[in-house]
Amino acid sequence: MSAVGELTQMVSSRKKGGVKEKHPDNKPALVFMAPWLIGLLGITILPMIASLALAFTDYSLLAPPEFTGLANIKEMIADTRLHNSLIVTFTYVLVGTPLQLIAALLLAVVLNQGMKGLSFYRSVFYLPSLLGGSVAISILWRQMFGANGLVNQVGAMLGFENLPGWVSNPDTALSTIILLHVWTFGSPMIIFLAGLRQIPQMYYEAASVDGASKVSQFFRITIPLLTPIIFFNVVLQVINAFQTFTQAFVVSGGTGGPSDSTMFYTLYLYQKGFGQFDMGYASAMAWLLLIIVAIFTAINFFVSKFWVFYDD
Amino acid sequence: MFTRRSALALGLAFPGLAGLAACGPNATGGGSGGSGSEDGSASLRLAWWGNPTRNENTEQVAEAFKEVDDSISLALEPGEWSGYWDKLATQTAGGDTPDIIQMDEKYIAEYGGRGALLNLADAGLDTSEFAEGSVEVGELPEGGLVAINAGLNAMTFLINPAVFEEAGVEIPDDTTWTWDDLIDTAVQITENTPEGTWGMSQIAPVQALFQVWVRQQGQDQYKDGGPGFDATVGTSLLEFAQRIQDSGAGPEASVSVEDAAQSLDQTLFSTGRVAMTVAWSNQVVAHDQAVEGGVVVMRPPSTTGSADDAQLWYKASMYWSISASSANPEAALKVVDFLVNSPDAGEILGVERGVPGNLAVREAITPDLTEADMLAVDYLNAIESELGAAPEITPQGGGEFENILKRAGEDVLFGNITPEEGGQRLVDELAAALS
Repeated sequence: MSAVGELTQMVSSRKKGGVKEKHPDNKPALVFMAPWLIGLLGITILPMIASLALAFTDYSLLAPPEFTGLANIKEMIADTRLHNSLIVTFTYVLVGTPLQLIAALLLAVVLNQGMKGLSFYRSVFYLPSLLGGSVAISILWRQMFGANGLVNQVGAMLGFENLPGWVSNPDTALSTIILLHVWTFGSPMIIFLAGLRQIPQMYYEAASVDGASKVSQFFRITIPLLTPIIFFNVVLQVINAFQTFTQAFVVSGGTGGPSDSTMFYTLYLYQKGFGQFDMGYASAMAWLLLIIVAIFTAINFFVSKFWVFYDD
Repeated sequence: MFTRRSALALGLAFPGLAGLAACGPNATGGGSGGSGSEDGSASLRLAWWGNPTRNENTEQVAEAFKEVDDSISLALEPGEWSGYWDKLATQTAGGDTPDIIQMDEKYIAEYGGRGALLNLADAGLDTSEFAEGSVEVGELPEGGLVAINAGLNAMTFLINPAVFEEAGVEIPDDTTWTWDDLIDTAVQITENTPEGTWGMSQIAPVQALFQVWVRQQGQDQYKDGGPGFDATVGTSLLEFAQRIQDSGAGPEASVSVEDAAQSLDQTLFSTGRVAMTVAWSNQVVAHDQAVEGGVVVMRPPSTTGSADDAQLWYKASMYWSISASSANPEAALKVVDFLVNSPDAGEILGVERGVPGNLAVREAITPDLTEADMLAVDYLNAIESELGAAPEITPQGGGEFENILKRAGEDVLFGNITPEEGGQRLVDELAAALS
């Protein structure tokens, strides 16, 4: 809020001044911004425009693109594997994100109790977030949840013999990837921790005096005051989750299998573009994803009016 | 947030842009692949996928080429199979194709059919010493000889004799065995070994086996650029897959899925937990090293019980191609000529890329081969009189069939669809991929 406020003030003060000498400091600023600006234009904006154009073409990467109008979109409507990949991705986002955020919030609350060695624990819990998207962890995951993996070995010790391979079974493969996602709760946890610090102690003190239990303090004070942070995390994590690629790619060995049970949208897009030389279709898919994420974010912002509480 | 959301579009569009940029120079034929200069010296890029052994012998062969012509310098670009094709596609789109490319049968039509590869016959490559039928496998109706055989391959059954012995089962005679014999033998092995050991791995959704299967039914993978088999034959293969699983000849679905994703030395076969599997003959050496006590190489079974009806064929395990946009095709041709026609190069390369199609080279290197190498060479020689007709080259889009087959196989084995539905799906999805 305050940043926007300052900006508005700056703009309005400029207007009042009505000075002809416009932004004298702009040139050096532009020079300093150039590395970022060139990057933004060259590897984000322009390629996005190009991909929008390619979405209406048949482009094999090897031959020049041919304009095909809405053919890609018609194909997408009929493509059952694409629909399946949407179901897989939505399941992942709608199940994985809430679980991840709940795990992050609970740990943040625990860590916020003023324990000794907090920074150590904070680092330890943050570690999975740094590693979770990496290829190494995905490979580790595949090994752990394999038929002879660590999970089944522990299971055997506890008396569960002959457990199936979790990643190689269509009924459980997606769950293992969702679990990997939940495990990477570190970054929302850090944000929650920062948010928890912002809640004034006096509310809790007053509540204790009134005899409120810890649980009702949590639901009546912590949660309401934390809603802006929760909202921020929800938006960010939903956007992130939609773009999950590495985990699905590595855990399934790039196939999205067994029998398409881990065929994420991005993985299917990748296979279409680079495996089947159908870059036009892949571009159209990329834009559909952009639209889906935009709609989700818009819904998030709209719904936020009803549950996010700004304490100012 | 905006940049986050668009990160994906970014990844996609980047090669797209490069592609647009490339339309100009490529269309006018002004390649920029390597740098040529007045005095005839040239620098060329050589790309291949492989493994540590292959990387080493390719480096050595590049070193040896210096003695042939030191005015041509080679920049080597080794890679891994999985990333190789993505990279090659984007390089080609960007007008930055390597001059000399190790090619696979699945992608010949993809690249050659779009004019990205040089016609080696027109360029004057000498193929006179090649075995009959080993040059044609690189020819396209529209592009001519766009790829030259770097080594011959055939489909094999590999046997782990130690597991047979443990089970007390005799190794069957591979000139007379049938698919029923295969199942019977495998079931016996599964029954006579501890739990967790099986007679065979789940081989039905392996593309090489699929191809043998349909060929023995009098059809083939491709015909006239479309699917060459009907749904009935597809169904029969998937029923066979189910039979392997239900009879106990091979492991259950989830174990098979995991097995198929393992690297060569970690599979059930290599670790001694199944007795039989399928492989290409250039993988015999690697398997022989991975399996304790070595492997036995056998012909696949046939429907009639006669090896003459096994309908095997020589496949080029890989090819060499020259980019059509290479700045210096003459120099590139010299290198390819050295790779496939020089006994010196042959001695360095051995049979790691498959048995040389060039008979003079094959003869020159035979005395120096190891015992494991000889397993593959002997097998290829043994089946020569039994070969069936050469299959059609994979049409554009056919590279996807491996995945289509794998998915249909998984769906049947996990009970999601019936073999009949699966067989129909094989035909439908392949037809869609090819169009």
